[in-house]
Parts: sequence; structure tokens; C-alpha cells
Amino acid sequence: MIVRQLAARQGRQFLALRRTPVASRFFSSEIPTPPPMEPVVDTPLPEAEPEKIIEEIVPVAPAEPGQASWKKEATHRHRFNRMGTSMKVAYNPDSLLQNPPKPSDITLELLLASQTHLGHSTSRWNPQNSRYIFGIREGVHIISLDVTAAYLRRAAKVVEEVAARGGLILFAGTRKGQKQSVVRAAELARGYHLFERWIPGSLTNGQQILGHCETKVVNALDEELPDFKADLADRPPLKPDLVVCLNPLENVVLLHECGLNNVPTIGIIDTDADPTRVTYPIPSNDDSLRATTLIAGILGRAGEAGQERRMAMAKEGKTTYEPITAQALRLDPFTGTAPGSEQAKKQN
Amino acid sequence: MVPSACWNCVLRPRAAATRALLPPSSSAPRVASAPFHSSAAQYAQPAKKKANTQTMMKHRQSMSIRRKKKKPVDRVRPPPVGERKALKKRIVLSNPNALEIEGMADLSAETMSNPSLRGTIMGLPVDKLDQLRAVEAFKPKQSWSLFRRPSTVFRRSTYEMGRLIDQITGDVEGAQQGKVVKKIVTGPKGSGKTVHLLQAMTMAFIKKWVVITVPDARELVSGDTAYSPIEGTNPTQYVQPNATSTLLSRVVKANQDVLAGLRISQQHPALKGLKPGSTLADLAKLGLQDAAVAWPVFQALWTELNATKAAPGVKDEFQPRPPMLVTLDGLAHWMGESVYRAADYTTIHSHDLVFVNHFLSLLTQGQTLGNGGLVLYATSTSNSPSNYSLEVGLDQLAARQEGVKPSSPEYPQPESYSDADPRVMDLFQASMSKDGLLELQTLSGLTRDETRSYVTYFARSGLLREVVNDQLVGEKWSLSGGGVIGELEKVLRRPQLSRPQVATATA
Amino acid sequence: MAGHRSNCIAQAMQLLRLPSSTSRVTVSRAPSHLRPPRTQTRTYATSEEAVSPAAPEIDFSTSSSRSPARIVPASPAYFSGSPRFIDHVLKLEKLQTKYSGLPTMEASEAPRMAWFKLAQFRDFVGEPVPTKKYKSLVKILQRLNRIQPAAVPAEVRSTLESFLRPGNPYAQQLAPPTVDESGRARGRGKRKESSAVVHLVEGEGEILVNGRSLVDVFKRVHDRESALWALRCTQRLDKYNAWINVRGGGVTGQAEAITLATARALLVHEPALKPVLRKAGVISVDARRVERKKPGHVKARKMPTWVKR
Repeated sequence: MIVRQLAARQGRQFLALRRTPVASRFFSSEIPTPPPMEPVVDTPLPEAEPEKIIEEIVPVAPAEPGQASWKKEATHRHRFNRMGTSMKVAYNPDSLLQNPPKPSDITLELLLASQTHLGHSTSRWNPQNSRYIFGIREGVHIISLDVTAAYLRRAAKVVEEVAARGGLILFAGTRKGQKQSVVRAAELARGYHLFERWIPGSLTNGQQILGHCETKVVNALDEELPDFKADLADRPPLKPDLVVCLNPLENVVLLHECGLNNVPTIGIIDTDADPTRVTYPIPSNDDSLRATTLIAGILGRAGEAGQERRMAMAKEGKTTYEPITAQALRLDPFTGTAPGSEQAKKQN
Repeated sequence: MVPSACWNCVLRPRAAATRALLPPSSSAPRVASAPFHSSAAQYAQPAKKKANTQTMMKHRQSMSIRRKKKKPVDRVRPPPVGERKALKKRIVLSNPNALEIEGMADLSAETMSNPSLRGTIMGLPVDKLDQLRAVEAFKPKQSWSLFRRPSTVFRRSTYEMGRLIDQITGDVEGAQQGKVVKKIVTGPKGSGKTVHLLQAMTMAFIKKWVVITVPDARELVSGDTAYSPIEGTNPTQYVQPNATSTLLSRVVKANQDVLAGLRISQQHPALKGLKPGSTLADLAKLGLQDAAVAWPVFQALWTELNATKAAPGVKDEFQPRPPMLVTLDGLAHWMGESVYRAADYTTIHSHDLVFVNHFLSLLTQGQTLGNGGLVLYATSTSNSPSNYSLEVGLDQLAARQEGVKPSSPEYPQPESYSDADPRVMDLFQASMSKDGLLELQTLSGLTRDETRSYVTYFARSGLLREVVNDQLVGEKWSLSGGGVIGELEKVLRRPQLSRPQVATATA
Repeated sequence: MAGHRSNCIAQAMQLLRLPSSTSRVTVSRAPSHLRPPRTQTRTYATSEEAVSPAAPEIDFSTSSSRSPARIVPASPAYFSGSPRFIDHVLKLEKLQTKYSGLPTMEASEAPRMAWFKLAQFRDFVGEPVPTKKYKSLVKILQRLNRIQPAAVPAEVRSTLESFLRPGNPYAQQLAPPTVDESGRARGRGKRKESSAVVHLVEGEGEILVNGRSLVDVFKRVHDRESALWALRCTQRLDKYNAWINVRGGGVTGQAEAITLATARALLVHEPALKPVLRKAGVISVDARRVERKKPGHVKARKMPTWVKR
């Protein structure tokens, strides 16, 4: 027993000390990567803001005493921040948002650290999820991390390819606290975000609900072409080409409408969710903000990669999708005829 | 801000006072209590009986819906007739818990016209209290029960009245000796009109005047007493024998000493039982014994009191009669129709009641008091019908006093088409036909000095626990609407709130 | 299950193989498996399938930068139904986090800004914005407005200005009330349905309400005290005379309207008393009014008794 404890205690340390590529290969199921926490730690954080702010401030009025003291304090802080102990490894709660990992950074350790493996109480499970479930611990289902990783990579691929083909990707996360991650992912993937309630009928009754929302015509390089503004009137509202849903349980309506409109969906499927509601499930914990932020970030990064690829091709004058022609734009959106043709017919 | 609870209710010593007044119930066993105990043991609640076992809920006992019906509570016997009214009208003149104020002057022959005492609190002389009670000078709600002994503020108006009484009596040189002064006392609510009358009565008693009072004018016109027409009068006049009898009893009780010293000097053929040479007190007592002759007796008494010399047939030596004080409270009740009905079921005008008519006629020019005296009629604001004619009459009186001629357009006249009572207007017309006869005296709030002494009086009686300074006096003065004494008393009875101290006294 | 898993993996593998194939082929069309069959109306890209052209193609300039490729939403919040509003909110939130370190001042000292009223804001964004959401937006605006004036970045200033309603109602400052030539200070106050106007002059504490004495108007001592509380709590009762006009409402309302009016008039005479009066609670306006009765209710909120059958 003592031996076992010793092994348990020392073995962990030993492993931590000697982390060779071979060992890491053993831990992660992907190509050799640096230790899981490193990319997060080593990546240069976005430049601290105060510095910039000080420069930006335009002294409008002669500085008040309070203002002067604040300025002094800010300068001090800036000067002395770098001095003293330097914290190499420090947890930054916003790092997942500011610098989300790429799909290639997915490791089981990262997933584990982000609590993606924690399912729900066994009594609440959906048996359809049995294939993702690793086991039970303390009455809670544990999701198999290697499945999660594989499905997440697949979803990332889907997002990347859709982005590369100029599809509209909608990131939807309507739970409290998911706003930032959803907006960030949409920003990375140049997609669209939804962090408040999905208005039922936005797809099935789009003209009523999204009819007033503006659209624009862009060229292959995503530059707006204002000449076609007049042609956008009376056009049916747009529909997303891919929907990423962080909480499918609450967004049944959204997923249903997507199903009706043949829009593929990606969803985080917890052990109590119905995996058949989405096209590409990602078995994972959807109650942990860290887990959802991680998944949204990874998918956002994937979208970013896809968009970059598309832009690179566009620069060469190639597109991976069939661009809308100017002529088609000029056609009447309802009859599908040229603007003047109907009158001509009548005259004939 | 202001505390929302009505402190007035909490503070009012009503409950304590009434309990102390009631005699200890005979059923409660008298238990000897320690001498230092402030509350006697017999007032303690009787020991509680053990609760009935049936009605008491036991722990874990099921309670059925069919509970035993409560026995009908047997009604407590109602209090005997007149007791509640007596309680209501009870006047408590002393509060043994209040502190006694040392060095307080009494109202006396010397002090009543002493100008240096103006603005002080003066006690009423103890030996006159019975007489004052007899003429019903005290009213139940005047908070006499707050203080150790009854006392009043010696206001400017009091001092002036004291001087006037002195002059009429002839103690002080002046042209007023033996004169008759008639005044109507008005003023806002709580301004001390009734207490003014009380002070006048006290002074009159001190000066050994004859005091005749009507403490509540309402009782004579509200249909409370019996009335009967006097035959042969046109228009028919009505006499109220019981009310007259009560009046006579008041006069006899209050002026026993004076009346007993005076002998009749006139012939009274109407009064059969009257022996020659009897005193005026005996004369008045005739009316007490038989209410039917009360009114003739009163008339006889009145002529006796106003006589200046003996009638030819009387051999007794004529004794000079003292001046008279006639007071009335609640004048407005007498300025309209009464609730009495004539034989044809028309309402009787209050001026057709001889009692009322007699006293109102004193206001007019012709009727005077033979030996001089003071006629003080006060209006009331606590119980008064709104009376347009009286208002106009008082306005006219005020205008006359300011020197406005009746012919001038500014002279107040009843509005056209208003139902001003012509008889009332005639009365005022008659009373004002000569200048300077009927006066209007308007009482208002106390001055600040008087307020200060009143507040100090409260503080020294132990009712106000605060330092009396200009601040406090000014505050109370403003809160009481400019020193209206009744309001001042209400304000002072409230417990004081701690006031925030102003850090920055001046800007 | 095992079979399914293998199928799944096969699908995944298929997907994984995709990028290599697409990167090599330079076709300008979507791969066949991604492209839905003809019968479907939707395609991956938003471009619409060209129906047989009615007229020969207009020859735009050949450069791809001028030829249209896609129709896309103008805002990333397109699918939320109120994109412009959400864009504004996100922009403001971004500013707030960016400049959260700047020195701020008390909300009471911040310059008073006339933000859009709700109806105006709805016109401004052209979307039906709920009240609650607009309130949260105004909250962010207020926070940004609290940055000390000397430190406000130009970006923030311009953003804030875009939310101001046209014509600044707070631009013209009201002249501070003063004591007039005869030494009177005027104050007005309201409470419940009553409104009072008080003229305060230096004096000995004489008070007239509607030309009558205070005692006549307020029978209760409590009302009298609350009417004069402003003077009483500052111990100024014997230093001022007041001429009061009050109308409307009941006795309590009138008394407390007088309190407020007196306090305001007193402030004109002695502005240094403000903290004392504030503490005494006499210059706080009580804006509560009687709630109206509603149809179907017995009173404002009371419902008729519910009876079964």
C-alpha cells in the first residue's frame, strides 16, 4: 500500500520532470506538440492597454489635481510593472478569449483542463450519447476525451471549409456568460453571432423578422460594392450556411429551423442532450463556460484559417464558390426575370 | 421627519386620572401595601384563574371542527343614568403628580391690577374655587388636570379687565365708577375666551360682586329643558322654568355670602311666600323650591339687585347693591331660531324665549345694570353653529369701533338676498345706536413674553423637559399659530423630539 | 454502436481528406459533395443559382475587384434581428473595457447629458428596441460619461456625442434663484396632489397659509410640525416670516408640499444649510402619486375575489 502511494505521489512528479516528446505522444493523441499549457503561456499577450491610453489622451483642459495624480500613478505603474519578480506561469482567465487555441493545438490535456469531460448526473443521460461516454465517476458521466477531440477536429474542419467557400457561419450561444466567447469566435471567423434569444421564425419567416436588416454586396476580396445597393431591395433575407450552437438544449427552435432549411449545424452535446438534433455533434460539457469558450475559440480559429485561405485564393483571382453575377443581381428576385422584360411581354 | 405615531394619545394622562378618581372597588380586597409603593395594591389586576382545561389545546391533540360553542357573555349592567354624563363633565382641577411651583402669585385684589405682573402665571385663589365651580366657570377640556393647581396667564387683556373691575368697584379713582361696560369677546379657536370669562368671574368674586352666568348658551335653545308659553303676550313669549331654576341655584351657590347680606327693598306682590325683611338669598331659594315660580323669582331678584333705592313701602334700610357681572358663553346659539316649536308647529325664535331675551336685552342701549357692572358675552368656536347674521353684526361692531360711520359705503352690510336674521340685525342696531356702549374685544395669541412664561410654567410643572430659551419659545409660538394658547398647550404636551444641531450657524 | 462509430470515423476521415484535395485543385466551384443537388434551393454559398439569363451578360470591367461575388449581411449581428442596436452595444462595451482604467468622478459631478429618449433611439437605430435593453445601454453611456473630462479620449467623446438628442436641453443653465428686492425668497414644492408656493422673508416667525393662520389650516400638530420642519430642524423658526399659498390635495399633502417649498426658499436665503436640510429629508422630492385604477381591478392592483364556479 505504501508502495502504491509512493508510486502515485512520486510517479506524477517523475512524469512531470521528464516530459519527453515520446511521453507527450503518450498523453496526447495528436502529433507531437509542446506541453499543453505552453502555447497559452508563451504566446505574447496583447499589449497592455494603459500605455497606449496615455499616449492617446488629448489634454483638453489644464489637468486637474486629481487628473495629474492619476497620470503620475499610471506612469509609475508602467515603469515599475516590469521590475521585480517576473511571473512566468500565471493563469490569465481571459487567455482563452484573447488568444484561443488553434484546432491543431487540441490535446486531451487541454480538453481535460477545460472540463469538457464532465457530463451530467447519470440519471439525466440520453442513451443516444452512450457512444461518447467514457464512464461514470461519482454519479456523473464522464465524456470520452478522445472522442471529443476527434469530433472537435472534425467540426473545426467543417467550419474551416465552409469559411473557405464563403459560407455564412453563425455562432449561437444564448446562455449567460457566453456572449464574449460567441462574439470573439464570430470576430475571428468573420462570421455572425447570436448571444440573445433566437427569434423563432428567423429562417422560416425571415422576411418578417430579418427583412429590415441590412445586407451588402461584396466582391471576392470582401470589399463592399456600393453600386449594387439598389438591387438589394426586395431580396429574400439571408440564411446561414452553418450554425454553431453552444447550447443546443435551449435552442431547439433554432436547430429545428436549420433542419427545415437544410442548414448544417454544429452543436455541443452534453450527456443529457439529443445528438440527433445537430448535424455535427461535439460531445462535451456545455455547462462549463471554460469548455464552451474553448470550443468556440477553436472553431473561431478554424474559421479564421478558412477565411485566410479564401482571401489568398481571391487575391489570385480564384474562388472556391460560384460567385453571384452582376446580371443575376439585376434580376427581379421574385419573378427571376430582367427588370424590363415583363413590361415588354405585356406589350407583345 | 415628524414621528408618525400620535404622541398626543400616548401622553394624555386621561387614563391615569380617571382611574385615580374612581373610588377603589369594594370587591377587591384591600391589601396593605408598602408605604413607598406608588401604585396601591387594590388597583392591581385580579389574579388570573387557571385556564379551562377543556378549552386549552393540548399538545398533539386532534382538534375537531365541532367545538363547544362559547357561552353567551352576560351583559355587564349599563352604568346608572347620568353617570356617564357626570364622567364626561367631570372637572379635575389638580394633578398631584405635577410639581408645585413656588413663588407663584395668586390672583387677588392687589395683584389683579398690578401692571408689573403682566405676562406671569397666576394661580386662582383657592377659596374662590368652589364658587367658580358653582358658576361652571371651568370646562372639561381645558387641561386643568395637568397641573398642581389651576392657574392662568395674566395677559394684557386680563390686566385691563382687572383695572376696569377696580374702577367700576370704585377702588381706584376714575370716571368709570358705577358704570356699565358691555363687551362681546371673540377670537380664534383656543385663544382663551372662556378662560377670559373665568378670570373675570374670579375677579368679580374677589371684589364681592354678584356673578350671574350662563355657562352654555346652547342648553337653552336646543330643546333640552321644558318650556311653556306665557299667556297674554303678543307675540307669544316662552318661559323655561327649569333652566331658570338652575340659573337661580347657580346664583345662590356662588353668591351665597353677598346675597345673604342683602335684604329685599321692593314690593313683590306676585310672590306669596316671601316674608318681608328676608334676604335676597331667601328670595332666590323660593325659585329653587318651585320651578313654576322660578321666572318671577328671577325677575324679582333682578329688580332687587338693580335697585338703587328702597321702594316707598319698605321700611328696612336700603343696603347698596354691589355691581354685577353677567357672562355668557356661546353667543351664536342665541342668534337664530331655536329648536322649540310653537303650538302651530312653527319654530320659536330664540329671542322669543324670555330667558334669552332678558340677557340679550342687556346688550341694547336702554337696559342697564342699576349699580354698574360688566356684561361679558363670549362667542365659542368649539361648539357653535355658523351664523351669518352674527358675523355681520360683529363686523359692524368692529367697523364702528374703528370709526367707520354707518352711512359710509365701507360699513359692512348683510349681502342682498342673504337670509340675515332681521331680529339679530335689529339687536345689533339697537346695541350700537350710541357710541362706546357695546365693545368688541378680540382675543388673539399670546405675546412672546407671555409665551415664555407659559412655557416656563410647563417646564416647572415637570411637563416639559427642555431648556427654555428663545429658540424653544419662538418655535412653540410659531407652531401654535402665533401663540394661540390652546394650541400652545397642545404643542407643549407633545414629547419633544431631539433636534439636529446646526453645525454652520450662519452662511 | 461499434458499427456506427466506425461509420462516424469514416465520415471524419473523409472530411479530413478534404483540404488536401481542394488545395490542389484550382477549380472555382465548390466540390461536388458539398454542393447540394439541383433540386435543393439552398446552396452553401449565398449566391443564387442563375436562372436562364433573359438578356446577354452586361460586360462589367473584367477586374474581379469590381465584380460582385456574394451578398452578405452588413453586420455580424444580422441574425439577432436587431443588428444595429447590438453593434452599438458591443462597440460601447468595448470602449468601456478599453478605458476602464481612466480616472472617473462621481455620478453627480459628471456633465449632464441628454441621451436619446427611447422613442428617439428607436428612430435612430430603426429597430424596435425594448426599454430594458435601452436602459442597459444608457448605463454604459453613463459610465463612459463619468470619465474625468480632462482624460476623455476623443474616441469616447465622439461616440457619446452620437447618442445625444438634438438640441441640448441642459445647455442653458437656469439662473440661480435669488432674494428679490423686498427680501423675499420664493420656493415651490409639490407632494401628492398638492402644490405650495412659499415666500420667505426675514422676520419673527409669523406664518400665514392662504391668508389664514397656520392653526386654522392644519388642525393636527403633526401637520403643522411637518409643514415647518425645514425651519424647525435648522432652528430658523423665529427668524423668518412665511407667506404660503397652497392648493390641491389633502391636509397631509399640503403640509408636506409646504415643507419642500419652505426648504427651497430657505436655501435661497442660506445655501449653506443644504447638508442639514438634505439630512433632515426636506429637500428630497417625493414623486409618488396615486396609482390609477385599472379596469378589471377593484383598486389599482387589487383583483376581485376569485370564486370557484
